Amino acid sequence: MIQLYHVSKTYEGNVKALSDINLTVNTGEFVFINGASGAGKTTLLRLLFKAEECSNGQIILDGKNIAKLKESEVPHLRRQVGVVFQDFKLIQDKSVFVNVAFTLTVLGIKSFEIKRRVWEILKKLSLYDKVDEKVNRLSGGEQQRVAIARALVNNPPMILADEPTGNVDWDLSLGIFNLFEELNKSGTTIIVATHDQHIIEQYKKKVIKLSRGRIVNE
Amino acid sequence: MNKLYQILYIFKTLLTNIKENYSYFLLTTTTIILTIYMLGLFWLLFENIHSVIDRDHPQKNMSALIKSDVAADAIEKAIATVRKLDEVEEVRSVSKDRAREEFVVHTPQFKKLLRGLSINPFPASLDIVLAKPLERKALKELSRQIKNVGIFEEVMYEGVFLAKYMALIRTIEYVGFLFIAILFIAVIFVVSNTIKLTLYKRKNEIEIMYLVGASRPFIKIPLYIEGCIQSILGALVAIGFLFASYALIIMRLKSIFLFDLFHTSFSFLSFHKIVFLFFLALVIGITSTTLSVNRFLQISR
Repeated sequence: MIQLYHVSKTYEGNVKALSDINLTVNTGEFVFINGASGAGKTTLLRLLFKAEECSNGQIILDGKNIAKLKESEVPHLRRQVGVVFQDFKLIQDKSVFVNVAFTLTVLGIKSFEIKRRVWEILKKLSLYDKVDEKVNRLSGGEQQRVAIARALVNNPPMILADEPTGNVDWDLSLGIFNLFEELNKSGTTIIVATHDQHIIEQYKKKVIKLSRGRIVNE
Repeated sequence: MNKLYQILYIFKTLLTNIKENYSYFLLTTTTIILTIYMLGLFWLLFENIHSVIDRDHPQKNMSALIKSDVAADAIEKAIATVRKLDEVEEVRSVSKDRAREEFVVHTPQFKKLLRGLSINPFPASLDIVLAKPLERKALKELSRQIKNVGIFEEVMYEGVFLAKYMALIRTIEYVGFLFIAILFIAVIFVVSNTIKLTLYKRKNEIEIMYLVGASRPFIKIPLYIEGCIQSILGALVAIGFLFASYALIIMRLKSIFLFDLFHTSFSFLSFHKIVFLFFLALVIGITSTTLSVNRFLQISR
């Protein structure tokens, strides 16, 4: 369970990204964070895997205040979270396989197990024919799917996705969200930041609407 | 088992890094080679100079060089005076021509050079054999007494030349070590910046490693191992070059008279000193890696 109490984030120059956020996401829940550009969706997601520190408030993840995590504990938190970044964060000059396998390699998983899991997820995301292709030779949509594959390959208990369908067509978007839904049914907590109203309407999940760094409805 | 696969990954990453950034790897290793080579050469030189200066085994021979244009009877008188000294057992007069002949016998390679000279540059001298071997302090006192006789330009015995320039040698030594210390700091600066360049090249990859849950040691260990490999490789090559230089210098010295002048055998650096050079190379590698990695990881976290 994720609980946020009076969380604020102010960047240098007194730029307020989030103000007094209070929310609860239960384990196994599927939540959309919706809002226009600059509403604070990305910042909110980044706080949840400690890519950013909150300026005020508490973020409790499974009973632990992540603001108080020691530096050595942060990697353990991040291994529990699969993150799909808006800018993909892929190693451009490496192959699709290397990028997707990266998370598993960091965990020291056996190489044949890595191969099995990477193939499985690439197949689900229709990327198996691109396995040896370098990422910088893929289209935006393909790169986005590689980023999703990397986030899912570890079967994390929680997935945070920042605009995961921003570069793919409607059919592929539905494919990706069906995959998220399938994972959610097996108990994975999914939090998706999106401005895409069609997707939100299609899936009818809990929506947290942000505007200028504040929750305007939940 | 997980650890084993992580170790395998670390070594795989290390090899990839070296392969992808081989120019930086070579630059860093070459810098370490040059530093260790210069330090080793300096150390080798001064260790051998000290082995000559500090050697104080008793000696039985001296040579008193006679000033030019001294009359024959004055020389005879001086020989008699020197013979009367308690420490002296035997005195043999060596004329200018005899000195030249003896030099040619000992160093035939200079025969042609001497033939070209219109004058004989060698002074007449007295070869003095002492009654019993004397140590450097007693030799110095005796040489002072002999010089007081009045016709002698210089009194020579083993080590007198180097002992005379001891202060100068010590100054050069201190300046040299100061220079090496400055060089050492400069090298750490250069090497750490070179490592930083390779890190900037991998900035994106390191950031992603963090974001997917890699621990700091997991990211840092390959970088440290790379630093250690560069250090050990640098020290190995530098010591190899050092030994080659040493062998070459000894070969050259043996072919000229200087080698006989010192009446000594030169030696290469001891095992302990070689180990110390390896240690210094590791200090350069590890300190530079620490400086660059800590600063860089602070930024890209």
